[in-house]
Amino acid sequence: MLNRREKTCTLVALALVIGLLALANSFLNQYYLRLINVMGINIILVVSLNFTNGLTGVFSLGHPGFMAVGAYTAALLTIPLRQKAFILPDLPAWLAQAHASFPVALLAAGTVAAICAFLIGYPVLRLRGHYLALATLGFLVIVQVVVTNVSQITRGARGINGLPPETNIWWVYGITIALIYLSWRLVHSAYGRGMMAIRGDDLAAEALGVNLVKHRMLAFTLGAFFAGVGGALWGHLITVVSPNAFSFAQAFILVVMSVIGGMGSITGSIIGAVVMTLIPEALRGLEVGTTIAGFHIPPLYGLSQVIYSVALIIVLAVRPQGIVGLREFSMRRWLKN
Amino acid sequence: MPPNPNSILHVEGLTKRFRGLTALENYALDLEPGEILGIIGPNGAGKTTVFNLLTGLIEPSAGTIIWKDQVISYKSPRFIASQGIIRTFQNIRLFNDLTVLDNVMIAAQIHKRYGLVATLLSLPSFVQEERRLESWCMELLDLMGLAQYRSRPAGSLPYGEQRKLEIARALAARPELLLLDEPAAGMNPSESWGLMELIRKIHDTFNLTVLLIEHDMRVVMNLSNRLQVLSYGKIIAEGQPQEIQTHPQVIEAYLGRSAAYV
Repeated sequence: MLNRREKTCTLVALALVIGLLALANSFLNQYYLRLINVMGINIILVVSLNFTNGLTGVFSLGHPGFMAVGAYTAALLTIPLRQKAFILPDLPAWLAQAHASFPVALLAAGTVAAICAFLIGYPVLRLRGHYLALATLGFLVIVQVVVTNVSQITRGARGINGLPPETNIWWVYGITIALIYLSWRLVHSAYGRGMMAIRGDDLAAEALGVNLVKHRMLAFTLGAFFAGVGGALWGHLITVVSPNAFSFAQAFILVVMSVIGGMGSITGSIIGAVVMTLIPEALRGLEVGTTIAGFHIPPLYGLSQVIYSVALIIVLAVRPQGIVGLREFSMRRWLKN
Repeated sequence: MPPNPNSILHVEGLTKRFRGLTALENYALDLEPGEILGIIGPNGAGKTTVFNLLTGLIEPSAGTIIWKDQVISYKSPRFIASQGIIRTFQNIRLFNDLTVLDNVMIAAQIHKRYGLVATLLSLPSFVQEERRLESWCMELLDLMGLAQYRSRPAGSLPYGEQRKLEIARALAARPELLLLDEPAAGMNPSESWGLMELIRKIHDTFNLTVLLIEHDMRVVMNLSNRLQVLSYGKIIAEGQPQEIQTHPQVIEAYLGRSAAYV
């Protein structure tokens, strides 16, 4: 529980963040705004991945699968009807007529992803460790194959383009803040403690009356819900959804962000997402070749992938628990005097 | 054997085979409320198997377990825990990453009375119930002398304190029957003596019925009202501690050396 002083400080910090976002929104150029949005979406994805991989010890690689489900669901709802009739002439009638505003589409994206998680959860969550990781990877492959082949709904490998650019800083960070609050609330409740107990020792947890199926399922569906929302935000940011955006590489990037920040910690998830969004972006100049102080550096294509891998190796070797480990940011330390 | 009308736990014909190995054969038990029953026997005699069967962690090959007129053999560990049967583990199984308080809270929340919606919205029902659970847990940590460790990760506690924390955690679930699997293992004589006093204290405070597996003869002889001796999966003797100490078969199978200094 927070005391009154901590509550006040939290509200002040929140107001500060909102103020900064408003400033950014009115003064920064498109490039930086987009970067800030991508960062926010990555925070959403990593914090939601943390429900399973961090808190419950259920190592899932299926997150991009849920992102894809969410992104396509939202895309099919927000594209104007006339445009939809043109690019997707073979849609079933009920889908061809379906249209929704952006918030409703986001909600639908999360809900459909959560339903998928619920359906595959029963068979998949019986597994443990690497078996579970592989099964969720299998789900990811299935989603990609389905999306690529059901071309009357998804346009196959070409993807759907021309999505309305509805994603903005307020949607992204509104959802980010809501998710962080929800995550924090959950961790400090019976539900979060149950999940962490399962991560620690599922046998002991069960012997103390913790419902393994219920807690794993909750973590999995909740994570999938926000993965779906994140996928939809992403799609409406870059205005294109295509199957290869939701690949194993994406799963790898999210896991790296989570591991580098500190698996099991909300603070760690946020830090991991921010750091691993900004560093590869800052070094992007190297990918296309640049000249620094008279030295010409040739283009180094694929450098950001290398950075992810090298960062992962360094963190695993030097600080396997990640930047913050299992700890959480706490104001109590700062407020002592 | 007709069920004893006073017994809260009635076990008969309980058998567990692991492939060719019979770990436990035709085990029987009648436990009266408030009793402390010690189970002793050489390593591999099937003592922990009894606990695993009673708590549903493994399924019996044959036999019946009746807890207060309800058949609980083949029920899930979670169901059995919710009925008031809670155990500790021989090889300590704490949630090492979590704080001492959280370890105890996890057990206490088996009786929580709030839902997911109340949690996410921080409704008063959630806030009050969390306070109630926390004060109950702190009470227990106080009783077990662990209150000063409340915010430390459980894995960082000294060994003896970890054993106590396991018991505190089990108590937090408000058990009626407490199964203690070698609580004094690895303790020095003064520590195990202190633990014995503590077990007696919690037994009296919470009106517990206790099943106790223990190798430390001094502890088990002092605490138990009644003893069962297992050897190779069979009960070879049952009775008062004094009777057991003089039972020729027991001395041969197990007590031998230890009996001398009890």
